[in-house]
Amino acid sequence: MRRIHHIPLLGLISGLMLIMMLASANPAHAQPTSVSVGLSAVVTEQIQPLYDVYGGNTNQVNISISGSTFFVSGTSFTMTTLLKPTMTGNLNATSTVSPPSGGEYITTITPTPGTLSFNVTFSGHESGSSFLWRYLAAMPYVAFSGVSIPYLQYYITIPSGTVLSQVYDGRGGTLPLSYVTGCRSEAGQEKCNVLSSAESGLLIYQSSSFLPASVAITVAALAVVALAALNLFAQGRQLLGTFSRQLKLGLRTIVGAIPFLGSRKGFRFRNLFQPRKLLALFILCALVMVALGAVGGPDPRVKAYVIAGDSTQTNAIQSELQALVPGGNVQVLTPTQDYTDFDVMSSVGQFNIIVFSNYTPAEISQVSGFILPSLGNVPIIMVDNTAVDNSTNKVIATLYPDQVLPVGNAAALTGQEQNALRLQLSLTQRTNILGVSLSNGEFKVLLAAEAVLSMVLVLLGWAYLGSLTSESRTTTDLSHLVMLIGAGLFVFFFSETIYVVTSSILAVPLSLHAVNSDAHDVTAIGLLGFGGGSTPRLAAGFLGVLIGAVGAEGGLRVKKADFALIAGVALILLANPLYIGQYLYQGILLLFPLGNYAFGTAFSNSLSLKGFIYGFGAALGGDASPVYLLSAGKILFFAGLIPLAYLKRMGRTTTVLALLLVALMIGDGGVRVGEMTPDKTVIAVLPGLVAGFAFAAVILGLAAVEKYVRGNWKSRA
Amino acid sequence: MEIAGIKVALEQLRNAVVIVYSLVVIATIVPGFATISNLLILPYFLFVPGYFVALILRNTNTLLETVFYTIAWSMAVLLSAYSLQTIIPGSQNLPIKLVVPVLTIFLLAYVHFHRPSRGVLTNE
Repeated sequence: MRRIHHIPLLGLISGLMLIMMLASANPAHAQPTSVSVGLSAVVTEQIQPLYDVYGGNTNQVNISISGSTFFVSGTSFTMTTLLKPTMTGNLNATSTVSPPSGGEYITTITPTPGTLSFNVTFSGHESGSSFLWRYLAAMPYVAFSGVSIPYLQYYITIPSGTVLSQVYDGRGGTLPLSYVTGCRSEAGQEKCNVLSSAESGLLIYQSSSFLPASVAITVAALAVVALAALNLFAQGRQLLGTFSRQLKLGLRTIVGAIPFLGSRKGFRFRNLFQPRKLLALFILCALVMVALGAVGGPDPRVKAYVIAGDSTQTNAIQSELQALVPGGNVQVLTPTQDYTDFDVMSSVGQFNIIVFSNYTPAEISQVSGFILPSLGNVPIIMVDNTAVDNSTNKVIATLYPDQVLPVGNAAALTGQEQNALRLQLSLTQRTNILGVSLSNGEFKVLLAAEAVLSMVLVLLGWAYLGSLTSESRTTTDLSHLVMLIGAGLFVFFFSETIYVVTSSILAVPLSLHAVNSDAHDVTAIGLLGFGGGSTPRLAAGFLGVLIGAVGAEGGLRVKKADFALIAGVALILLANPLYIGQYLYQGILLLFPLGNYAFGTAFSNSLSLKGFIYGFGAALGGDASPVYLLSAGKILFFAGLIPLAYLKRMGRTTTVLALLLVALMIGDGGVRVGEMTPDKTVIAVLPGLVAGFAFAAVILGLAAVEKYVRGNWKSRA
Repeated sequence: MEIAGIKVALEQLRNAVVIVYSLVVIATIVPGFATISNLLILPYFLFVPGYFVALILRNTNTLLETVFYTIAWSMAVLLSAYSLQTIIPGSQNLPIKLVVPVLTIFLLAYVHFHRPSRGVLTNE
């Protein structure tokens, strides 16, 4: 009677596998290569793939430009790149690299007058990333102006045996593998031509052992699914029961050997997973965070935000400031690290001073929209006369007359200017409430502790929400739903409040939304190597909901067979080397970004989902003005609360699937707590709740299908 | 027996009213019927579709539950239709005043012909 309930599920798995076998990647086609006439430029990237779970490296890029001087219309032309070019050779030509502006390097190349032909070569480095044993190589961006180069050729060299898995253009669109073509072997390497549409795009490589490894993982996953299916039969259950008992016995022996865990009689870890206890732990964690911040904060460093055109000027300004501050304890941040979060950074008091110096019109136009409206949060605004266009300085002086400190050159202050700045810094410097002064090293330890606690806060708060599913049996549907909505609102607003308060006390944001993932010294969580901290918060929220829902007394009963079934199918899909595996890989990279990689069908589908969510927000006034901004992540959090209330009304398999989906939705909201934008939270509540009913309808539809399938089999039996 | 008969009759009356009401709402997309007052149209979108979703999901145990879920599901249906229109190119040609009443009639038909069996599927 019991075993036949799972036969439709096995049929479903078989169908999925059949689809996977049919959904193969596009075959490669040979493409003709172009012939160089007149001027030509050749860009060659030497790709050194790295196959790791998570990591990155750099690849050397060589750029060679050659041709007849006759084809250069003026006296010189420019080359724009995102990598920093270093000239490695030249014949009848000179070159000058300008300081970077907006991340771009502009190189002016001047052929020697009176010569017939010229040649100039450069080298630079392009970063690549490794994720889940695949390698993502970014294609370098190279563009010319002031000259027509009809033959710009891209080549890559890769170690022989490397398998090209996916190709994407500069906008993330999927391209056929044939865009990398004409490969030929050269001394253990393969040199291939990259067609123009893949320029500044992305190539994904895998090792030659990836395919057999995928097959092995798929077989292992099939075994997991088979074991899950085995659990349907009496003998199988007996076999698994024996295995499970032996495993538990082994674990108990290990736990018993650990002094703290083993010797505590009467202590049950699971007892902690009760809604009220989790709520108490959540609030306790918040109090600890605030208390630690209050006794240790604020940051002892003087922090300056410097907009200064190039790194030479920035370094000179930093030296000037260090000379004025006791111990030279100054930290300088620049727009390359983050400028879209300037509002939040300045609101929590991160900056003592902002410096405007020698900026280019292009640079200031890019950042001014984010920075100018929030300058009121920075006590000292130093502006100098080194910028070519001083119109921004005039606007700043008009808007913030009491904070502006005009100087001649911020990189070379006069004695009088130094005195004025020293006085203002001493007047505006925040002090510790206990009068304690921590060293930079001690403060970093405190920040690291706060960063860990900020993750624990999300884990506990989200676990509390998950644990509330255990109370659904004792309340009516409506009571349970409204309790979850209330609890969700409290947890999110309270978490965000604690993030804001702690960040303000520390004068360092615990986390940020758009900070450069390589920046380790902008946020507290950055100290742990997580940049803005989005990925660990997502993981904490996701795990929190799962732990709370399954671990709580009276919580969801997730049968091992159902969990193994879904986990097995997920493994099969992930390990799949063909299209479905690639799609899942794209989706995972969206959730765990390595460096703003957003590409392929999964990315376009995520944009559609985002558009769908924004639709709810727009209908409920979320786009009333450009300032009134919506956050899809926050909407998703509140949306997840509704299906969470219905988890106990679903069939076994749908419950597991819905739980994973809801944990992902609510976990994604956990990411946005660190954004510290309470206005966006306010806007997101109602669209989120209404969207939640729409998501719940879909999930309940799936539950109805399961009910029908199970009921059908039952009636036939 | 008599009470059950009255209940069935009331349900049939409700269904008939909803079908006529839906047709009236659909009719407003025809230029000639555009003069129908919006005061008549707006309550439809606020209550009717959600009521039938609540019936299907058996969210109608008490009056409070019925009202709560009716409005919540109605908003979800209406805003889902609106939101889908914003992301599917060309879908604006299919007006919400047509989509939602048609969906409502489908829901009504489901409730009428496929009354949900008693008992709730759970993972217990």
